[in-house]
Amino acid sequence: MTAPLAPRPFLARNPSVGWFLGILAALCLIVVILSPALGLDMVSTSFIKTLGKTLCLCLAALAMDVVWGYTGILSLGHMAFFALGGYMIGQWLMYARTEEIVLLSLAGGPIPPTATEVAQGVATQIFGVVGSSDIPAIWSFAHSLPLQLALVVLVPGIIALVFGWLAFRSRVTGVYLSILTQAMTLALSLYLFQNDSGLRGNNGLSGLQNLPGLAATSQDAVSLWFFLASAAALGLTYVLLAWATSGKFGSVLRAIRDDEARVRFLGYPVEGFKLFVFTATAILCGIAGALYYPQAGIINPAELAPIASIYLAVWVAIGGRGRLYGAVIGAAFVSLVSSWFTGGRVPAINLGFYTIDWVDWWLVLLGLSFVLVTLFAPKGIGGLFDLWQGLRAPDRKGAPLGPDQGALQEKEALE
Amino acid sequence: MVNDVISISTVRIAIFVLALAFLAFFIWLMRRTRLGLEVRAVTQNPAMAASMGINPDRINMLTFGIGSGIAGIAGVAIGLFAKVTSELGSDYIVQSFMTVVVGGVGSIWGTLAGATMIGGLQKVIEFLNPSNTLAAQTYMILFIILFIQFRPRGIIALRGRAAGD
Repeated sequence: MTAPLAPRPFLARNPSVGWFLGILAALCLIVVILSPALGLDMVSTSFIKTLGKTLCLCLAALAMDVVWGYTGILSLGHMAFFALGGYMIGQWLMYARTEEIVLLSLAGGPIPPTATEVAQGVATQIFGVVGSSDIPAIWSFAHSLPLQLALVVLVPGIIALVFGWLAFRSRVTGVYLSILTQAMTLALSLYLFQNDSGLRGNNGLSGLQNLPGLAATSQDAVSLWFFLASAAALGLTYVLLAWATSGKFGSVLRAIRDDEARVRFLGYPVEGFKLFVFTATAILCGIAGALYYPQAGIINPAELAPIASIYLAVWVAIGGRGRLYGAVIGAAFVSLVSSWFTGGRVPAINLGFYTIDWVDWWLVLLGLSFVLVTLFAPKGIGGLFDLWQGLRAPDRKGAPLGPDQGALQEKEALE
Repeated sequence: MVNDVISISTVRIAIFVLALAFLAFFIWLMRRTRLGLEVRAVTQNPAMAASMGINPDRINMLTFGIGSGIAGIAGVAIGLFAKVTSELGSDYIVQSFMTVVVGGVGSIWGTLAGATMIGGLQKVIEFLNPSNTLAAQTYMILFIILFIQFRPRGIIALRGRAAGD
């Protein structure tokens, strides 16, 4: 008779959390030390922005991993939620910044400007480019930061909730659901491309890197703040998701991925679980987008194009789905390598008869590596960690006979 | 050219005839040939088909090839009246998926019905709101999302074991 096993601490059950937080903290420390704002001025501001943006993409990839790798819903709409979050924060950034400029230009007048004059000035400044001078209704909250921040969560959340409820309720699964989410993304993108959508059509929102009220602060400092904020958001989310997916909730999610009908027969409300995961990850993507676009500086409807969501799935697949660190590695690796290749700093390879220019050939390389990873290494980059662990843990041969970790395995049962 | 009011270019009539010809060819292929029989068998139950002496891998390869080929024919037709670029396909990828989903997977007649519905609907919406083709596409996609609510398996749904599920 042995005593019941005491539950092991959270970090012991999820060793990747400790490693991840350590690496993230080390990265932050190194960047702060080398940054132009606080440290030795050894990395450029634009590189810090690239790193910060990459961390936001990792955050979106984490959300995608939970919804695809854990729950098995291949959503091709999560980059749309990402961009919606960006649009919501962009509205405030652009409105407040334009208001400052308008106030400054009107300050020279003999009498102080009225509220109507200011509003008109802002409207002409923002919407002149789409041939309008009225502020559309969806900008009603743009004057207030707290309201727009609430919208960052609410808009993707409500859209995902309504869409997910409609889709999951009628048991749309598998490839149908992927197509449906892709259609939703396309519809949103086409809608935003119109000039009368109220979000400046294909011009998008620009100048988002200038924070209102902080004109005196240099971009060096601003980029560092956003980098650290992105890192903090990524770290927090990682811990939260590791906690959520390692417990009973995570077991139900994996069960839904592996056999949805069986989970339903066991009495779990599958639709509720799927809806919750879909909505929660959409909100995460919205938050990631709200951190991303102030660093990117510009957002337009092309960011919502279905291809962006497909890239998200590609990152997660290359990194290794079904493990959180896989998503982060995939997103960071592919987007950093991508910005390296498309930045034009990679030496072109001269084959004599043809010169390979990586700016053009990078997409071919990415597509090929996606196909190769899917065919030959379905576990992705994260599978390398399994190899490494295989060195430390003996290969027990054969597939496990039971569903739990450590179940008796085929060859052992024979012996 | 029909009369002063209506004009239909010859190319479009040719495309229409081409589409009809390939529709007939595919219905014949799927219903009347050994290959069609094997394709349908593998779709319904690959393991059972394999035990009946059909090689599912070979059938999958052939089906994929035929599907790609017919898409190439469609590309020829589109190239006759639209701009041809390397990104030509991406304009149609979502629409072609929608057509199959609306029509019902695994049914040629369903695909025809889906295509008719989607094409007709898009033109009707464009007719009601002629200034804005982008809005027409948006509304059409919204309509399809709602349509899937009521017929999740498309207009002509496969029943029984063939539905797979």
